[in-house]
Amino acid sequence: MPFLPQRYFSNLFVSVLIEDSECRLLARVIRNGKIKRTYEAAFDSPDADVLEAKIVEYIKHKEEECLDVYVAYFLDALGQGVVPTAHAGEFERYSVDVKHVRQVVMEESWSVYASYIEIHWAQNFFEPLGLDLLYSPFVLLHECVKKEGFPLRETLYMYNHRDSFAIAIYKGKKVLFGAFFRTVASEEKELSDRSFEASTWDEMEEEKGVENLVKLDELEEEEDYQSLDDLDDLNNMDAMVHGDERGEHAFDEGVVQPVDEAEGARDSEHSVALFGRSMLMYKYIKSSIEEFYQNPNYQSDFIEDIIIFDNYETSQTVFDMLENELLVRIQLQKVKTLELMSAMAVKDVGL
Amino acid sequence: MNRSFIASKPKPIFSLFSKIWLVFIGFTFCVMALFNFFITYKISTFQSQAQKSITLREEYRSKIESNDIQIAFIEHQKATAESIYASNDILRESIKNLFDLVPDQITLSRVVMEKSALVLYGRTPSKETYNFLLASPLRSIFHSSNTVFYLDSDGWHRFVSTNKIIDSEGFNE
Repeated sequence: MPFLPQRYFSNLFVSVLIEDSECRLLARVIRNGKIKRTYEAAFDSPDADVLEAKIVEYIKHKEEECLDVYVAYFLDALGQGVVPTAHAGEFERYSVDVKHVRQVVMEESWSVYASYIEIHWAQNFFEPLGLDLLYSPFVLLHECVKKEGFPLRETLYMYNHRDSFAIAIYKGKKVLFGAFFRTVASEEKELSDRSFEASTWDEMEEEKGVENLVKLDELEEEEDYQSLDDLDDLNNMDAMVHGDERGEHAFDEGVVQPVDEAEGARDSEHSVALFGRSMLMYKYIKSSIEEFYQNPNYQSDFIEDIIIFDNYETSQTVFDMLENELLVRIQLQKVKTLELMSAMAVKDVGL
Repeated sequence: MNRSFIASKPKPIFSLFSKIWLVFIGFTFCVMALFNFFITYKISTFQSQAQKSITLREEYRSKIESNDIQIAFIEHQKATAESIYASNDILRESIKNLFDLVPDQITLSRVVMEKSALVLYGRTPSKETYNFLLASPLRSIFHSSNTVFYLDSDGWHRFVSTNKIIDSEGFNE
């Protein structure tokens, strides 16, 4: 590694995650590879297109005592995915237009890609600060799998977030199949809000590989909500929900959400939302596995294990349904995306 | 291996603004260093020139001194020469006066001029002629004047007149 004098100064590494109109930050002051200080914060971020001024102000304030700030963002946009090849020439086979995506080769055998539109959107979003690193959930998932040890048999790994999740089927170091899904209905609205030029839109539409899969899932999503409306006894859902909320952090400058309703009602609402999400997740996973089994492009074999790296919370319902329907064993492991991103950012920047 | 969609490298320690400042400071430093070298060079040049000038001044001074000595010597010589010329002039005048003093009848055969004495040898037709025409003026000039006559074969008298002056200073006059 080349000698970098910057290493001996304090550098601020900020990991940013925006979910459900909430922006969560993990800022670490790192000097000579050692964490000197850690700040955690959460802000309301109602506008999906503009980074809130108070966030910029917060980071700028923290930056004052440091030499430089490096911002890493978790890309949770739909215009991304995985292809089981390292060669850009083979992208066409998986219905991905290589001209409009940026490729990151992993383990010299497979690739993670993201649409330029999404990358540019993220860069524009962080323009007041400057975006230094943009991580795909697949990359974070791979980091977790690497820590866990690569599987010998086909294993489905899932990287679960509040608004989205990514799945990848590993065999050894190679990913055979991967897909990314959003579990919130607002995605379409967000996409339409983003002010891209007509030509950019055309480019986006060419990413058929991602879009086709999403369209399929959106149809199913609508059905799920229909079925949810029919449920009568919402309170019974509590028993089915895995209520572990240890993943929530105590934030130093967090914005307290207003409590307008009674505690019980809020819990019920949360449980319903979680159940709906679980159903959606089940559908997505099921359709993905079916796609994996049926599509001749993928070297498929029977999946026996599913390992979930969970950054949010996963309902026991999904576990039961998956185990019963797909005949798989499920393991759950808690991960902290912000901490993972922060560690990866330090390594990738080279400080 | 970069795992991010955006490649980030360590940011430079110095911002563009700082770099511009550093370049400016460096440039100024270089200019000042150059100026310093120039000044040092000039100072050393001037010092060597001053040293040369001091040496030259010493040479000139010694030359002036030797010239002064020469001038003094030449002036002394000149003074000596002038005094000799003056003495010679006076002597010539004295001789001329002396010869003017000697009347036509008397013939001088030899004149001996000493520092404070004048010895005249010559012939006179008679003692009286000598005493009237030459002895009187001689006596008025010199403090003592003795003349010895002896007769010659042709009837003229040879004489030796010894005239002395007590104060030699007035001899030339």
